[in-house]
Amino acid sequence: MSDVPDDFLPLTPAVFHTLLTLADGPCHGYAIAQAVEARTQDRVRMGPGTLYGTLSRLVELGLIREEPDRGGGRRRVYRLTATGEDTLRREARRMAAEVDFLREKELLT
Amino acid sequence: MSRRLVEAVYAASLLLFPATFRRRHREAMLECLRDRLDDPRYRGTGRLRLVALLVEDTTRSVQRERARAGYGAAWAGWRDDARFAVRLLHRDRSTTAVATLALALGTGLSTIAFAVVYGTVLRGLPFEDANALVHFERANRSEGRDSMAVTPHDFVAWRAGQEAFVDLAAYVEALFLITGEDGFAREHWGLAISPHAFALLGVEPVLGRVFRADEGGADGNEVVLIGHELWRQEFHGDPDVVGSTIDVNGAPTTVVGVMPPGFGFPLVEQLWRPLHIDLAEHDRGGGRLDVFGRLREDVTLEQARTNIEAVAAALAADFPDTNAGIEPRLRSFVEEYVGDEFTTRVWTMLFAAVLVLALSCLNITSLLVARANARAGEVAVRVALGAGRLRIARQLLVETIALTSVGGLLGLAVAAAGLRLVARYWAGTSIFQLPHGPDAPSWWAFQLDGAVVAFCLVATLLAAVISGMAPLWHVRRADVHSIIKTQRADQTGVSRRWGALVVIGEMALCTALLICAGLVVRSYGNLGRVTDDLDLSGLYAGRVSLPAATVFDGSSGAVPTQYRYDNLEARLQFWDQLRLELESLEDVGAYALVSTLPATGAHRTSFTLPGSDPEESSPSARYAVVDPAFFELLGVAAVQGRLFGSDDQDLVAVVNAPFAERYFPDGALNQRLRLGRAESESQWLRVVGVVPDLRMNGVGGREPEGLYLPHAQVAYNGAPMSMSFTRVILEARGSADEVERTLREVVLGLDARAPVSTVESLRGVTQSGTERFRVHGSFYLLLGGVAVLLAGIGLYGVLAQSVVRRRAEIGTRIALGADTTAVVRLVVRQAMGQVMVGALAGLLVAAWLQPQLEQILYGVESWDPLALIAPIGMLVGMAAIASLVPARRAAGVDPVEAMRAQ
Repeated sequence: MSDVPDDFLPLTPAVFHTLLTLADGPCHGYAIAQAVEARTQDRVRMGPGTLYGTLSRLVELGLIREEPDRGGGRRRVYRLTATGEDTLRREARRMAAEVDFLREKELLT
Repeated sequence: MSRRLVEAVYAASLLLFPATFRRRHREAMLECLRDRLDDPRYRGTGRLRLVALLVEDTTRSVQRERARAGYGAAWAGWRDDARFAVRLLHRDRSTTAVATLALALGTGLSTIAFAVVYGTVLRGLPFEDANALVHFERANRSEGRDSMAVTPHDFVAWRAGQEAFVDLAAYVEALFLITGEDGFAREHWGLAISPHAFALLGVEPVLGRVFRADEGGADGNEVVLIGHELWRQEFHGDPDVVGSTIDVNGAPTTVVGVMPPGFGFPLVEQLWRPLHIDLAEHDRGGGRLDVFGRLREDVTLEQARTNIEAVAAALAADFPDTNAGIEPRLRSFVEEYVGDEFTTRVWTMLFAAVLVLALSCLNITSLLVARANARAGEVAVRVALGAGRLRIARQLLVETIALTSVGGLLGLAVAAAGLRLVARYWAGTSIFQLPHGPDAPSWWAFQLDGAVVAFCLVATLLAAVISGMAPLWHVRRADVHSIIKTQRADQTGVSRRWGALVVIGEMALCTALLICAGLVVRSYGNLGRVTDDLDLSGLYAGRVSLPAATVFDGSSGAVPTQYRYDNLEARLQFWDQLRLELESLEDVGAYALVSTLPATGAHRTSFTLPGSDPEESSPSARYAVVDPAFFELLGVAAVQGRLFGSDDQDLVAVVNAPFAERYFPDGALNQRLRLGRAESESQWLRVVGVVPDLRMNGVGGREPEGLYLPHAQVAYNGAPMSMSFTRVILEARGSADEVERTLREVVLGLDARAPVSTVESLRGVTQSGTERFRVHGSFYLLLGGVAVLLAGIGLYGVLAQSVVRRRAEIGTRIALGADTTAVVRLVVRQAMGQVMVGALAGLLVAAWLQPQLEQILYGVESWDPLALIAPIGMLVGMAAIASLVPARRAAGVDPVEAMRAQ
């Protein structure tokens, strides 16, 4: 059902957080960077190069879609596609599984 | 870091991304950057974090995007080139060393010269927007006078009528007498200045405040502002001095503030009191003021001139008696105080230094061409294997930059060291006569600041590009086929022509430079003649002034009333008493009272010759009032006639040689002259003798014509001198300090409030002038020496190459029977031909420079034969030495080997 193969997982921090941000609704470029930096307390920082590199790659993979700003602004906004949402879910499941392993080994309580 | 700079650099760095990516995201990425720049987190010091983030982000994402687009990393090629260049620098150490040395000297010397130009002429006063400061004078072209002070009436009218300036302010020199804690009075030059002047300058005091608008007028509350240096020196930097009352000119005066360190205005003055102009005190046309203004932001100097000219024209129409023909003369403040002659002098220095830089570029060019030739095979193979010419050019450029950047950095170090020397030798006293006396403006600075470092970097970069051009051109011309076949690029004659061009160019630059440097140095050598040859050992000089008569305020010229020395007779009597006291001292031998010391600037007077046309303006000359013992003490004998006697009955004068030459070409003895203009009633004086030129206008001063008048006749001979001060030359044992104490005690006995200056050795006084010129002259000597060195290295390099190139030919000649002498002659003759052509070209360059030079030369003809022949002789000698080694090597060529190599 998805075009994105499983070996695309795990997602890089930049991709993961971008998708996570867009899960809340469409956003333009700089707002994504700001949200990511706020959420991770600057652990993941997205300069313009990383941001637009990530965005264009995700558009190519069909995980997000680019569309003009409905509010009439000049900026383009990005919206999560069904594929993107699915990818994010699969990544979440993968991470949950990893967490379960850690719990079994009593490394995480 | 400014926002615009960050944006511009980032926009440029986007070029590193693949084109498709860039086209698609450029705008959004810049928008993103702007958003971050607006973010309060990245303001102030946060800006640095942002820059770090951008650098990291760009480095990573560029690599990622380029990899995705199938490109190599953007700088991989450059990095390889740089690594290769560094390896080459290391391998080819002699080239590296010579090029580095040449460039370090070239950039270093020109950076020093630029720092001097920048620090004295370009930078201006260290105030906000100081270039908007304009100085005013008046001129009357119909009378041939182009530099007259502004009268109080004109100042007030100009200030009221002008629209081009924020405001105008006036000042006038004033002598301040401060009684220190030790009870001795000391004199300091300062200004009476419009109270609003400091606000106009934009300078704030470090302690206290500046003047209030109404302060220090007729209300009797005397106030004064002091400079930082004076504060340290007289008041030991005591902050409590602000608000306290000190004794200035005998009146209790409140110190209201201390100005910042390094502030002297207009030049080095450290004391200011408010100037209030009461027009009722002045005749229209009388009084003298210095005036300056600050241009409004949107007004040019030209517009301002038109504006003030209109005001002056209206005044001339209203008051034709005093103002007809009077025009305002506006110049930038720096121009006024630095003057054209000095400006020409420092620019000439920079020009000469840039010639040396050009020489070092030529040297590097010839080294690079030689290397390009040696590597022609390697380059040709690369081209044959498919390397683009652009790729090769890039590599050569990186090599040149690597080679020159070491030299440039060393040049910066040379400049830093040189400037420290310059600052040490030139600080305080100006190198040359400036329009307003010998003091160097306090706002001069000799330092490596931003502009100077930028000059050094740009000079290095230009040197790299210019010297890198030749090898590039070589690559363009290279014929891959023949090079690969022969492994040599020099069969085409291209490099031979280059060699000749380099030699001729270097010789031309070097000749021109040596001629100019020779003229300057010789003319400076002339300056010290006479005064430096005087036997001044054991002579000391100091200045004694009358108390309170020194309250000199040029705005009114009034001497305070109810004053012990209010008439000439009383003042002369004081000096007679001083003579009696000096007479009785055991430690003091001969002495003389004089108005001016030799080799320092003397006062000026107009004078009238018999039969001169009263309609024409009178000539003027320097003059000094001296005791008869003056000439004896200095050991100066009359060139013609006699010196003053102690019993001269009629009124007499002694003139100096330049005066006699100019005004009495048919013999000066017994000629007559009168002091003052034609309409004055002064008595005729008889010239009894002619003495050598003792630099009455200071060392290096123009118009040295001057005359001496006997002290005893000053009451009758019309000398325009108030006699309120004198200088004393003493022949004494002991140190200057001891002599100073003796003089102070003597004067203290006569009048406790009469100030005595520091006593110095007379030799020090007369030599300090020539000393400064020597320092400047030695810069030219240094330039000349470096030029000869560089030209020698260049010539040697070119000849050595040409010998290598012509090995086969020379070998053939030797095989055919040419002997050593013939081979040496062949090489030397080739060199000498080029040297002579270069020297001739250099003569032409020097001829072209001649008119510029005339303005800064003293006492030498600009076509002084010695200055012309010596450099050419020196160059030919140097060329002979430089060509001898390659010539001998050529003679040692083994014909068998040379021809086998073919």
